Formats: sequence, C-alpha cells, structure tokens
Amino acid sequence: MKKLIAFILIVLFPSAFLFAQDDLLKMLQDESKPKREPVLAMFKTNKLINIHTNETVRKRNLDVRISHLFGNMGKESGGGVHNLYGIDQSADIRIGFHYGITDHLMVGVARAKRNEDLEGLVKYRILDQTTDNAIPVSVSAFANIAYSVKESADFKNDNYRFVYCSQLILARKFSSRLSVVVIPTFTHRNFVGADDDNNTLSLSGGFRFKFTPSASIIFDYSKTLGRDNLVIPRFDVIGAGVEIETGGHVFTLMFSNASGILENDYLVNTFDSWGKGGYKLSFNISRMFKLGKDTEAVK
Amino acid sequence: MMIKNLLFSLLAICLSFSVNAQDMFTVSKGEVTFFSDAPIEDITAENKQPGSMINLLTREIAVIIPVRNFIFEKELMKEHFNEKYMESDKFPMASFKGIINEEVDLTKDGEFPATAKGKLTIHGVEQELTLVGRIKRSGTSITIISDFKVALKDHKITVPKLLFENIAEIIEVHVSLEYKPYQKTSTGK
Repeated sequence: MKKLIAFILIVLFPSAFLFAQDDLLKMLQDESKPKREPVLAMFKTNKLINIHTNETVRKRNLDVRISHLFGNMGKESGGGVHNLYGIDQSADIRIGFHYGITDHLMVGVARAKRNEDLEGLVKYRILDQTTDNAIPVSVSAFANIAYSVKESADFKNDNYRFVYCSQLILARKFSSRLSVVVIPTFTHRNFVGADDDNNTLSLSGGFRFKFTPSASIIFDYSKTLGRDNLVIPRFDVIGAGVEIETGGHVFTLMFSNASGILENDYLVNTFDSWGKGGYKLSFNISRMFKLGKDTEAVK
Repeated sequence: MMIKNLLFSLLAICLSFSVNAQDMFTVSKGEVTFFSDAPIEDITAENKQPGSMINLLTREIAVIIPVRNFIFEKELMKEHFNEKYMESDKFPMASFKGIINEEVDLTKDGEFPATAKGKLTIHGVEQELTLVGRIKRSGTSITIISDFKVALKDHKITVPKLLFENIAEIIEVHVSLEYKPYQKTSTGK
C-alpha cells in the first residue's frame, strides 16, 4: 500500500505541480517559440563602395543615388596640390534611380559619365538570412546592361556599345555590427581590345562594420581573373570608407582606386593603382523616397 | 482508513489543480499600438501578435510582445525601430507581468475599471509601474483595454544623434486584448 501511495505521489504530483506553475510569464515565453524572421538591416543601401550588396529597395520606394568619383589624389597619377588632390576633376559621376517593384524585386536606370553609359539594372532577392539561422545566408541575383552612347570610331557596330554584368550576391550578417558580402561576377563585353577577352570572371568581397548606431566602416575588394597578359595593366579594385545613415539618407565617403563607378567598367578597366597614387576621393548620397501609400504589413 | 483519506485528499488536490485550469485565460485576439508625436514626423505602429495570460484565481496577468512584429507605415521606420531603438536582435520581447489590484469578479458578465501593478520590461530594462485600464467579461471572453505612456529614458532607449527621423521622448501605448479560456493543447496562434 505504501508503494501505491508513493507511486501516486510521484505520478500525480509532478503533473499537478507542472500545471500549477505560477509564473505566467514563463509559461507564455515557453509557448511562444522564436519565430523565423528575415534578418534586418544587413546592409544600409544597395551598394557598399564599388560592389553591390544583397539589399534591394523595398516595394514602392525610390532610391535616388548620386555618386561622385573625384580624380586621382597621388602625384604619380596626375593628382597633387595643383588640382587639390583630384577634387577639381571628376573621374566618374553616376546618377541612378532604383525602384522597388516588390519587396524582393528592384529595377533601376542610371547614367554614368566615364563611358557615357546608360545603365539598366535588375536585382532580385532570392533568399533572406533568417534570425534562427535556418537560412544562413542571403542570396540576391543582379544583372545590368550598360550601353555607351559615346561617339567613338571603335564602335563600328552598335552591338559594340553593350557591356553585360551578372552577379550572384551572397551575404551574411554575422552580428548586429558585422555584415559580409561575397560576389562572383560574369562580365561580357561585345567589344574588347585584341589582347583582351570578351568574357571575364571577377570575384569581389566586402564588409560593413558598424561602430556607432548610425556609422559604419565599409571596405570592398574586387579581382578580375586572367588579366595578366594585357598590354596596359589593369588593377584590382580596393575601396575603404565610412557610411553614415541618417534615416532616409545614406551618405558614403570613401577612397577607391576604381576608375569608374559601374561594375561593367571598373571590374575590367581599372587603370589606376593604389601603389601609384591612383586612389580617389569618392562620395555617394542615397535618398529614399516613399511613393504611394502604405506597404501592407510584413507577412 | 488513514490511507483512504490520504488518497482521497490527494485526488482532491489534483482535481483542484485541474479546476485551476479553468481560471486561466489566454489571448485570442490582441492589438498593441504605439504613437510617437515628433516635430518632423508622427510615427504609429501596430502589433497584432501579443501573447498574454490571466489567472483569474490569483489575478495575475502576463503579456509578451514580439518587438519584431510591429508594423509601420514605412519599411525604413521598422528597420530603425528594431535596429537603433529597440535592438530587437538582443531584446526580442517586451513584456509585462503583474497583478490586478481590484478584486473584480470576472466569473459573471460585467465591466470594471481596473489597475494592474507589475513590471514592464522593454529593451531589456525592467520598470515597476501600475497600468490603468478596463476589464470586461462577456460570456466566455474577457477583454482588457489599457492606455499608458512609456518614457524612452526609463528603458534606456537612446535616440541616435544623427537620425533625422526622431521620435518623441514619451511614447503613447494602447493595448487591447481579448481572452478565451486556456486550453493546454492550444499552441496559441
């Protein structure tokens, strides 16, 4: 009989006490499993310095982007005090409009000065990294076409004016401070010099490190493969800078040796080298406009 | 005889615990909204996924609000709210745990003004406070409505200096929760 009582005590009491758990808050917390949410604010804007990020403009938002690349700063590359370290010059200017058709699909048009290019672009967010790490990386696909309207004897055929880029953008937010992006790029140019290849493959990587709630250090690097035998050497592209977010605006101030702003251009045609003073001051302003009313809730 | 009595009382205890279950109510429909009145831009946000439980016997109440699920007019506001103000990756939940002060009889239909004293946790910072509102029983459901104010500094929420989209120092919060009897098997929503 005693055994029976003991048995009853053991079997009934724990379950009874379990139910009598008086901490409602704890009960609630136990019941609400952490939800799977996409990671927020991986990057602040579409581009890091030279390279793209996985971010797209959200639905019915318009990102107006003004990018300016000054001239070379170093004396060896034509800079120096006489042109205030390149500030009198503009190596490239890009004015772009990026628009979100959906929260995942963005299209854009732009003008870039250097090759007198008109750019059309599309970026699609395929995957978003989730807070529970079920999806460990964000993946976006990017493609653009640059059409040069330059008057040049080289362009014997109108097709020669086109340069195509396609990218797979892989990104991960490691912590609330650090986000990293890696991008393989395939570039096709319809017209190239005799020593060059129509198709090139590049690899880029970059990061953003947030050091205050609104300011980050940004860095990126791009290397285009198989370009050692060119008559005029091309260089890898390195950019470093600071990104400041003010809510609606993102300001980026950076140094880079890129010769142009479009990937169709700098990946294959960067003639300036950091080692020879070929770095330039550059800035970008991104201003987000909300067109139309109300994105309807986040499902 | 002793043993029989003992068994009986054990059974009674267990039964009383299961009776206890009927005193528990859980949220079936809830809404938490907040409003920030600032010079440049008024900001409102709405959250339809609060969790809450009441124990009628002990008059205890607990509420949790998943910070990520606030919906804003602009996507960018949501990002700033989560990233800069609430740091929701570190503090994913806001919560309240307290006791209803008045001995309101919620076994019958009726509506009463009520207050609840307890701890409000936002941004990982706990504050003692008394919420004022109304509590209503009608049929099987119980409704609680409360309006209160939260000062950012009480919860160590700082406004980044460079942010244009400033928010008010004091945020107005409105809570409306509708409860149904708790069933252990229910998974909430």
